[in-house]
Amino acid sequence: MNTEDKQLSSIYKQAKQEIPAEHIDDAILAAAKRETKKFSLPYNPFSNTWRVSASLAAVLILSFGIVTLIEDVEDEFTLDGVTPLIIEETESRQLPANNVEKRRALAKAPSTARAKSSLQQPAAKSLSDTSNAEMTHDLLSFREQDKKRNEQLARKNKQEAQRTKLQTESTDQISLSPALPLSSPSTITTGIDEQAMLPYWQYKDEGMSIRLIQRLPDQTRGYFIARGFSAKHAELIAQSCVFQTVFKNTSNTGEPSAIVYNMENWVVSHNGKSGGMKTREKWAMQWQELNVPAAAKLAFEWGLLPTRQDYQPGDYNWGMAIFDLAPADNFNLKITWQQHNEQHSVIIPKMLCAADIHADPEAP
Amino acid sequence: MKLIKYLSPLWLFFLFQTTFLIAAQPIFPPVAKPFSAYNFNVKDIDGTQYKLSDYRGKVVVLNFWATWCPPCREEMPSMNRAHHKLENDNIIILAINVGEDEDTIFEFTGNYPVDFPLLMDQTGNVIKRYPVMGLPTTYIINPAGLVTHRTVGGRAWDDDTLLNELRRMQTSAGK
Repeated sequence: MNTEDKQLSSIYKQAKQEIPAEHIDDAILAAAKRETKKFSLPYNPFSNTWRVSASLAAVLILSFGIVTLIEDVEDEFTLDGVTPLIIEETESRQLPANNVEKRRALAKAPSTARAKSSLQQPAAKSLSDTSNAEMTHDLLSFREQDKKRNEQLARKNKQEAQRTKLQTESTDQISLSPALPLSSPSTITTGIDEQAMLPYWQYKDEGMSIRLIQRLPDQTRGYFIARGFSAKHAELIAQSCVFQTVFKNTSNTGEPSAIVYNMENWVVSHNGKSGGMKTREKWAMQWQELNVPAAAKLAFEWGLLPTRQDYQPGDYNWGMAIFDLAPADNFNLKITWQQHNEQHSVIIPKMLCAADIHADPEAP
Repeated sequence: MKLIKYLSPLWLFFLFQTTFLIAAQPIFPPVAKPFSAYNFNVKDIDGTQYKLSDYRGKVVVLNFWATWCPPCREEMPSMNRAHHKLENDNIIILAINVGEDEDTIFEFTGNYPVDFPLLMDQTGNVIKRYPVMGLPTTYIINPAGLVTHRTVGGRAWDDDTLLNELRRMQTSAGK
């Protein structure tokens, strides 16, 4: 600090502190208040209403989102928790998929031999004859083979779905009867079932959902041969068009109401012709004529989706729906049911029966 | 914080409404008209004979199932837990397998341990006496031997609300 700075500093110290006069201070304050008043609205007790409205809207949107999410999660759990297809794959694994002769030979084998060769139905008494280590090894080996088989089937089905433009999720135009309230958020979706890795068609509205998942003819052969059908008779089913079906009364999440349906009223349209479903009663007559064993008939009967059913809220069934069509056929399905004292119907268009494809032979 | 202040009452209202809706659902759908339960006499997988009339005076949960039925498999573990929870309540769980043999059921129990009786209806004679359309179907039989409720499809049988409802049925019958 030089001499000049020191002098200047002492002058400042001696000078009086600058404080505006009181009247100037008041004038500044008054002017400021005038300016701010220009932009403030008069007091309104409802001026904050938008916040409540916004909160309400946010809560409603969040609530709707959560409820929808819960419903979806529930669906996923129910549909995907355990699927029969993996087990059925296990059964069909015993039958070389691309070797009809071997399959027939196995079918002709004594039932005890079949039972031992099947993972699904090993004779319980034979468990004591087999060491746990061997069983574990076999199971792991089978599971690995099944996994490979599933992957192969998945690839093939994806290709098939691409060919038929079904690979990606899509929502089709819904054909609704006038009785179905237009306000109900009903949808038809198609896609690949996550567990079965096969195409599915699903209809869903506020009170009901039905999902039809393709079954490969080879799965059907394996399933029914394992339940006492001869290869010849299992082939009759396999050469039809089979879907694994899940029918649910979902009205327990909204306005509860029972569902009643009769499959005999459902209409299958194929190549410009309309017909009915091939119900368990129609099959039963055929099995009677063909002298199918009683145990096989019983397994068949309970394996199919009921022809008639009434579902209370929360009730559901799994079962096969069999159409009197051939593998790879296209068709439209009109489903009818009663709920909320109204007749409902929906047409699920462009459904496709699974083609009779076979997995490639296992790589050595 | 202000947002939370505004949302809290609405959330409470929403939760109350949801709880009310869930509580409003019937736990077991009642049958249109109660009917006498068919008095079956069947064996379990160990050869022990079971007769329904032996359980007169108790609430019986009668389940029809098969090993190949996915919802049947899915509900079996919860049914087993329910069996243990109800052991001291005079409530009986019986599961009737439809059309399968001992070996198949025995193998199933390897993966799904079950401690209540697994009865066999290989010929389908018992299931025909009940108005079953699809599997699984479960009937609630009251202590007087009347079928009063029915569920179709799997349930979480060890749910406390559901168990309390069964206990209520048993207790009210004793009054």
